[in-house]
Amino acid sequence: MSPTGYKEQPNGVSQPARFHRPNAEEVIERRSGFAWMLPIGLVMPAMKLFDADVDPFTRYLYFALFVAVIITACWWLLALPFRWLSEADHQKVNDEWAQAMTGDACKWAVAAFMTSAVGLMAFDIWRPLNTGEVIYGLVSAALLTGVTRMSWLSRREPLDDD
Amino acid sequence: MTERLANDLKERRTELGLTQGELAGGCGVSRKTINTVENGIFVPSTLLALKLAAALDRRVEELFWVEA
Repeated sequence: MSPTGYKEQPNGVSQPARFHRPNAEEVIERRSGFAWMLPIGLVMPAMKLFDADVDPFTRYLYFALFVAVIITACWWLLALPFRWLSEADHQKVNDEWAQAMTGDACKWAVAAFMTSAVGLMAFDIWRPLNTGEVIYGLVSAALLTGVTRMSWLSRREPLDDD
Repeated sequence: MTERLANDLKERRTELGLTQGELAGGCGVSRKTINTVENGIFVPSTLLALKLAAALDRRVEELFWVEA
């Protein structure tokens, strides 16, 4: 397989950089662990995005972080390809169990979206919310629930071969 | 009455001396999928059931049956 990039060496000669390319089974294992990183990525920008005292630059920075999290989540849910994996490995990574898990997680995410919408409407009576807060609340609730559900379904089961 | 899909996958696989990973590779799915099918967590599609039957040299109805 061709190298994925080039790195300048101390002697000034460009040589192919060696990156670890996880195989299909490693991707499947890491995917479930990675899921727990999303809540961290969501909570961090949440603290700054709607803080009135924050300067515009920091706001843009956290907005960019939030967008990155959403893109990552979409990439994961839509099963976009890893360039080093073969077609057979992609088929394995996105096999019917993976699709069933994603579908179930999305069902939970939609339920969370609807219930949090009701919760936010009720909260709005007590303290009026701005549009940004509502969007953030809805997206976060849906994403966190979906990711948590998917992590639960893909938790490590004892394998008979181990 | 709750019905579930029982299977003889593990017995047949071990009989042939195959690991879950080897069977998964032969069917183009992940090891996790084989594990969840064996443990009755996941009901496979007709396509996968046929692939499993072919890989284990059994008829589909010998590998899977409905249990009340």
